[in-house]
Amino acid sequence: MRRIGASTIWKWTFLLMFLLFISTEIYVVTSMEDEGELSSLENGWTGASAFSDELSRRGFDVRSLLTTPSLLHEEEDPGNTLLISLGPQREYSLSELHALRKFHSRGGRILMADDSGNGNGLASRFEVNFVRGQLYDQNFVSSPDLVKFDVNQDFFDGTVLMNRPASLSFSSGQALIASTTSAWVDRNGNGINDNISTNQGEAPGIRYLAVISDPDFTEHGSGAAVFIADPSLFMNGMIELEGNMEFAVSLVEHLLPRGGKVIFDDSVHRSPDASGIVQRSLRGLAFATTDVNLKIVSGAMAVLALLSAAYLYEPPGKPGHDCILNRTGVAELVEPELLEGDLAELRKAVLDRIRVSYGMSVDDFSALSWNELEELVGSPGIYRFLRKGKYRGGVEELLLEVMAWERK
Amino acid sequence: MNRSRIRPLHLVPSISLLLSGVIFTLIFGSFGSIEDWVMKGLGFVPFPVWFLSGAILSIGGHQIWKRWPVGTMKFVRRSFLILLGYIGIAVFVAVLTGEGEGMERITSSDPVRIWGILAWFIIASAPSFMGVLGIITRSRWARGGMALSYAILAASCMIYPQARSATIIGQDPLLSILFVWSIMIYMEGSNWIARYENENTPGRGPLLRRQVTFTILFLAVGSLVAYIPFMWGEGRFGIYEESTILGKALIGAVVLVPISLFALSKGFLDRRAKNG
Amino acid sequence: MGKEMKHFTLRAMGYASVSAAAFVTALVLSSELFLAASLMSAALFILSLSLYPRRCEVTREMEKDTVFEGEKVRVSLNVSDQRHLGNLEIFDRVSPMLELAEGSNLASLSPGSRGFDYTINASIRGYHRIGPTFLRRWDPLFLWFKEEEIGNPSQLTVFPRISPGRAGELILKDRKYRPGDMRLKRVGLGKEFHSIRDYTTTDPFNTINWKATARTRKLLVNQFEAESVTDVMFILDSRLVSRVGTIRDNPVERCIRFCASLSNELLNRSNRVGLIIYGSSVNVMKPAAGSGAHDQILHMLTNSTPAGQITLGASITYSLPYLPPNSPIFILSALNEDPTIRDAVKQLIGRGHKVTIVSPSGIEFEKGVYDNKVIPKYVLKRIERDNLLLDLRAVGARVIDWDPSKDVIWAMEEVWK
Repeated sequence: MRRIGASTIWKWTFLLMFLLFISTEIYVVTSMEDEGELSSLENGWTGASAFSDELSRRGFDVRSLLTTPSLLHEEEDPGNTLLISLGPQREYSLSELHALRKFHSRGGRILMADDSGNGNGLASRFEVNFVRGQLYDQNFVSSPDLVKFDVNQDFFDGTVLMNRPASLSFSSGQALIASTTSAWVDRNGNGINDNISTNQGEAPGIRYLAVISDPDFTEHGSGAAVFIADPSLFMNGMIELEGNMEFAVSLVEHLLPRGGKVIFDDSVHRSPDASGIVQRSLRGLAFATTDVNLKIVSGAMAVLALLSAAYLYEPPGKPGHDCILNRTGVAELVEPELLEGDLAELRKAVLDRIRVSYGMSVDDFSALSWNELEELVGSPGIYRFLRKGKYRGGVEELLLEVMAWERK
Repeated sequence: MNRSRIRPLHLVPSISLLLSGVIFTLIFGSFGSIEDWVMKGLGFVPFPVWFLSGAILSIGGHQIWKRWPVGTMKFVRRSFLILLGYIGIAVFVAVLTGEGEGMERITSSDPVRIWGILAWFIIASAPSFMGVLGIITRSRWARGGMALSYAILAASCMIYPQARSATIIGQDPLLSILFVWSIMIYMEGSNWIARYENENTPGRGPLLRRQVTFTILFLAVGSLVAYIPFMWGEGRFGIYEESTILGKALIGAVVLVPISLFALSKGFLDRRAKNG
Repeated sequence: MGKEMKHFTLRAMGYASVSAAAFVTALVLSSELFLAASLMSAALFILSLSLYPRRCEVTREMEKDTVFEGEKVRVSLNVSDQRHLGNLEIFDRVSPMLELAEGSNLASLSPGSRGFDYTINASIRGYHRIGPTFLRRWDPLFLWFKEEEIGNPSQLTVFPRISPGRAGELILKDRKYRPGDMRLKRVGLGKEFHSIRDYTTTDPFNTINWKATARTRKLLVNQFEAESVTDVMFILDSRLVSRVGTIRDNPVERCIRFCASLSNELLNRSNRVGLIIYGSSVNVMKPAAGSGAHDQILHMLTNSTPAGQITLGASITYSLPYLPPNSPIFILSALNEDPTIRDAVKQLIGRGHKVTIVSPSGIEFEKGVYDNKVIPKYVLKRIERDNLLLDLRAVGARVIDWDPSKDVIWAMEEVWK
């Protein structure tokens, strides 16, 4: 087998790792959308920088998460951390959902506002569902799109203004904001409350606009997740209206009663300016180092590389002088013992010995009768061996006798 | 080689591991509570006890082995097979009948935990067991086994605090630095013995001194490098990644890239010099 | 300058693997401790790898390039530049047929050292190669090295050892008288002193050794060596099967040493000497005289390698035209594994050659491999060999059965008897 050098193995391992990294990077960068709505770093009308700045002012440690929520695996103090995901423009991947779920189970707090349905991946894990379709209610301001809702909770008592909200259905947890009984959801998107009998989904009734997974989380010491059916509440253009800012801030204070870290998940938005570049370039690295599946793949690859390196690797030898002068060789004594075939050779050798010692030619010797030969040999043992090929005792004794034989 | 004479060079690997074992015991005594974590209510056995029991077992085992070499080996081999077979069955049973989901089924299963205790017992007592065996039998295998089991023990102690709290926790790198120092000195010490055992080798003294100096120098630089990710400050750019992944990525760029570039450029210059 | 090869030691691979494994573990477990361990071992590895010596020149000097068996040769290696942080290891490849007498052909240069030297023992004849030199440039921790082949190999010519022969008359059948003047190399050849004996009345007075006479108080005369100028042919068996025993000492080497020694004596006495070596082929050197012939014989002997299985019969049939009529012939062979010996010798004697067979016993050498234990096969082969020797004597050849415990001088004396 051809041996492969150590450097070749390393080269290929690094090349494979590099390819894995690059393909992850390309996948992540190309899968992003081109809008920066509701990003905490966006200062425009659709951004969420006002909310983020207000939280900083109130003493929260505000961070922007640019790469992936998988990084929450690495959060050291989840009990005092809140992740805010506003209007996600993409769906969370399975490993990100796993990370969020794990973050919650470790005591982390999550606030998600969505009206597009992208948040359903996470919401469904808390038995909450964002219902598609705009919600219309009677308390609208200037346009049916802008709806006012009353909020009567311990932490906030007042009204909030929402723009084209969706609605929520849930089977566990508790509602924080509900509509009036005459609210209806435009399921088919035609802007009209269709025939009630034919379209049950658009029947008027109480709808929910904010849900908390565990209202008593502070007593349980567990994590909590709040889902709000309208992210535009947090937009720079909306947050200052009605009691929006107060509601948002008190919700955060309710979720983080001891203060702590607030992380805006901007990985679901395209970030503007320089941070966008950082985001793009770091996302692959963050993915490769935090994504569980990638961890398993790269770990397995590294183990495979190590194993194959150990199998193929041949350490360099230490040069030394190899003197062959004392090597031995044999030609005639390769097999030390006498075998069956050698007995015929021995018989011939004995006959030769007798012939040579009597100085006879081969022809003369061949002409001898058995009796004459017996006389020449003298020894009955040797004669028996020559005549019948048999001998008494071992072959060693026969050999000794032959060695000792001399002409009479 | 005169075996009866003890040379300082021959003591380097053993002393490095022994010394590190002692420091380890003194600084990280609390790691001894692994057994309590694996099996609730079992209590905790401090490291020195494990070490001592390993040494005693080694002496006793060696005496038994000397008397019945074949039988002992057969016994040891079969015990290991039984231990392996047991974990296989235990995991299988846990997956089928255990409570909870996925990995929880396996980790919460009592039979698996019992196996964990057995494995931990072997891991915790192996360094002194192998070390004493190495001294008694002068076997290279035993010395190698000592280093290996030491590495496994150190690795388990590095994983343990994190696994116990099931979160990412800030840790002092002293443990890993101590571990790398002792393993490296062990490996390099073995190399010094192999290379400079023959006292008649010309230029032995200066060569040995140079190699030892460079080893210590490189280890010291390595220790500084190891501390860099822990010196990285927080919250400068308001980006969440800063405190987690950014730090790890940047130390690579700050430290390893210049060194690699230096090595590459040196190689390039050498090649150019060669080609004229 | 040869191709440069990079090599990593097991330790280097181990450190790299530990570093990589710790890094992967650090990522998988998000553990800073493993990250620290990984960084530390990687730093050590990379630091050491980046410091290795520059290229340098190495030159070899040999004390002499032509020696006789048993002599020693000193070899020195010098390095051009020695200022660096890494390590230089130099290996001078030496033919496996040479022994190291002092020092080593492998050395790590200590800081400041400009080279090293070693002594080789030329124990066996041949054209041996010394070199090429391999230069290994190591990092400070001996983790990896770049190896390259530098410098050209040198050749060491080792001639077979020549043992001095006893002065005396070689028993040769025919003396050859050459027509015309014959320029001899040495004045007074044929007048060489041999021994002293009692005076007889027929001795001329100028042969009386007066000093000895005065010492013993009776008349003694000097006896001189007889002059015998003739053509002598050597037939040397260099088959593979004759190289039994060790490579250092076997029938072929014995025959070669014997041939070198005896031919030297014969040439000194103005004889012409020819040589036939058979093994994988038959090499013939026609009888020639003088120092040129001496050199030619030495080179032929030095160059011969035991190989092949051409029989004595076949080689004699091939070389018959080169054999001077009636010249004495020395067959130097272990006489093993060759069924044609008897007939070949008979043929030579039939053509009027005086045949002397010098036969180092192959089976005795082989017995040495078995720690000189007498094994059954040995007894059988011994009987066969004895039969063959008796047969050859019966045919009329002079056979010298050379026991390996006896040296070349013994064999020479046997020939001279």
